[in-house]
Amino acid sequence: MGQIEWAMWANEQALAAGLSECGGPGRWRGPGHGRNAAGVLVCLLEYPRSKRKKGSTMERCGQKYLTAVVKLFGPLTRNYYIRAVLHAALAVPAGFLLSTILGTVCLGIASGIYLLAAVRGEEWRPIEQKPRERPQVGGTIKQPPSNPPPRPPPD
Amino acid sequence: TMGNWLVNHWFSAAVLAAWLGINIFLFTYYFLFFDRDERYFYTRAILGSALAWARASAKCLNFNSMLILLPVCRNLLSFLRGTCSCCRRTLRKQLDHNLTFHKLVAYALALLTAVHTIAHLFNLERYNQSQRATDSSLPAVLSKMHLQGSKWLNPIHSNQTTVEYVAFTTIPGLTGVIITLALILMVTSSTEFIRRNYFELFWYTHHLFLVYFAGLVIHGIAGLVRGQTEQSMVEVHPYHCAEYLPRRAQNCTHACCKDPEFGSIPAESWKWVLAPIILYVFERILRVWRAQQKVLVTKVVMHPARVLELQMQKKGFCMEVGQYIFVNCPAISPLEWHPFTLTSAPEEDFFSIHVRAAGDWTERLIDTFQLEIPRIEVDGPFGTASEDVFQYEVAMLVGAGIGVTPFASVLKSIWYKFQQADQTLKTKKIYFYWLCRDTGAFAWFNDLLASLEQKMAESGKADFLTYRLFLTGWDTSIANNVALHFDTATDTVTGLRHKTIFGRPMWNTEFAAVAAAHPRSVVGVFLCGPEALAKSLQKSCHQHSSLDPRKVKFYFNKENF
Repeated sequence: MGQIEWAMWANEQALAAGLSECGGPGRWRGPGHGRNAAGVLVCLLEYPRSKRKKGSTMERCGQKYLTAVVKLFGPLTRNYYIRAVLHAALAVPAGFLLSTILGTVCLGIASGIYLLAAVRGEEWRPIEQKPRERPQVGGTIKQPPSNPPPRPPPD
Repeated sequence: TMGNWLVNHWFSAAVLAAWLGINIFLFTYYFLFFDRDERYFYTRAILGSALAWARASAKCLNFNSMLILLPVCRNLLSFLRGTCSCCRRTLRKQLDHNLTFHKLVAYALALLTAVHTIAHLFNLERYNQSQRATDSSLPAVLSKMHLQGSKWLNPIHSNQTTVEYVAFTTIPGLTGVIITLALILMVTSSTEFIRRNYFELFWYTHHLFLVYFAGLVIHGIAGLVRGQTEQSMVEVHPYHCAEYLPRRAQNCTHACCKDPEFGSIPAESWKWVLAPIILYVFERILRVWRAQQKVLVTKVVMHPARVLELQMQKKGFCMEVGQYIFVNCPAISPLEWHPFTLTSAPEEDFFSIHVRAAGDWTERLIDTFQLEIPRIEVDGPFGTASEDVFQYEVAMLVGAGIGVTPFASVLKSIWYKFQQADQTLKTKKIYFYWLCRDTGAFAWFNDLLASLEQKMAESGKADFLTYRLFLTGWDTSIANNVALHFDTATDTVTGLRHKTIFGRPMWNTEFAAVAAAHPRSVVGVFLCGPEALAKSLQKSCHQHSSLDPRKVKFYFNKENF
């Protein structure tokens, strides 16, 4: 498994955990708002997929808007140690209620995998749009020269 | 069209409808059962309708856990396919959609797990609250009964405990958490992105299914969900006695004095999953046995752009066009099996695959073969043969990118059949369209086309095969080069007789040309490529098929190579 990028799996796991934290039924009532906010934050942070080290990366639908936002935080979002700590911290509040404990465990696992990724030196890289060079139909037609070739003097 | 789809996929549609129907039936039946049956009257007094939600989803979970192993028993499926040779080919083709069904059942498992877990979390809360309650409500009274002995209703016997403690110290609680965790990890590592790019991670993590099944079988052993026993129902039926329960005096004399007694629902998951587990164990044993059969590597060819061709022989190996095999190289990784489409024709005395460097394992395979010939294990062939290709008088074959690989097998086979005047071959003319960004990794296919071209010219049948190569990844320097050499006999890029065309094909023009050349034929269109291309080809087939049955008709076959 030499070329596994652990962060990619951590990303899927964290996104699943985030979705379950903010999507669970019956948790929008009462003191659950903190947990839902944590879930939403995790979802927003994890939605833009990082660029793979080798090869092309499939973007998630519409992720470029969130990529721009996540990029703004610079090293806070680029570094996976910080993400590992963040997810561990966000996981804790949900652990106090049994109904959200699965969210905690999932986020905790994601945090662990991110730690592994950070130890192996992985980083979050934004997927940039490359300007598509579409050759225009008429653009490469070479225009004939506008001046006549230089002629020797009529000697 | 819907009708067309139904004709081609009737088996899949039937399986899907049956599966959905059984799920809905099981859920509804057991929901109503647990919501209405008198044996659970007192249970419902504590739990409410969450009982029915939990039990109904549990039944469906058992059903789907039974099903999930079956589609991945590929040797079993091959066996079924083989014995169905009398059946229509469309049936056998749909057994190829096994992985789609597996994923569908997995999604159902995930959904049902969520329902089941949430319902039981509500149940735990209610059990705990009832045990703590000290009033004379029915739930409180019921919870205090039979705290010594085994006839209790409320599994929580202490009024000082927390729901979390109960969850982690009871068998169903602990196994429930473990198997849900296993399921979540399996799902997050099976997303398409991970499967395509980090296959080994997906493969190894997916073996958590062992944890899942072990936990599932153990999950129901403790019997924490209970109903009233038969005998107790006879003595103190809830419809008569429920109202008296909270108000019984010490020296009670009426008929409802005795406490109701409760018993467990026996664990039944094992009944559902035992047979599939046994089948799957057989499947893995069979794979190991098949893998032990010796594979002889007869020829190793290193093609440009790091493409490795392996020609092999194995006793009893029998293939058809369009099939694939799984290959394992113990020297690289003892547990990994990777699928490859067969590129040889059945008429040849060897079978071959072309391996492109597309990841960890393939890179190492190519490196190893440059030094020595390691031991290789092969399982297969799998997949339904694409015999339809030979049934059409005129065939249009479209291969995009790596989709060109199965066509290597098809083209070679057609040529052999043609040479041997095989009666099963109805094809008189083939149009082959090859679309790719650049020919780099497919230079070997290029050579194949060149050699076919030559053989046909030698046999005087140069018109049998017409092919067009479309390079979609051109730039100005290539275009300039072509412009300079436009009058040479062979193509500058490929060296083939037919000129390379730059850009995507204009299907309208192509179909119109074929229709004009064969005004009265039935033309089969075969694609191995992306979905978007399938849509445009299907559209073109419709547009250029004549309504008159005597005139040209195009049939689109989306072969799942």
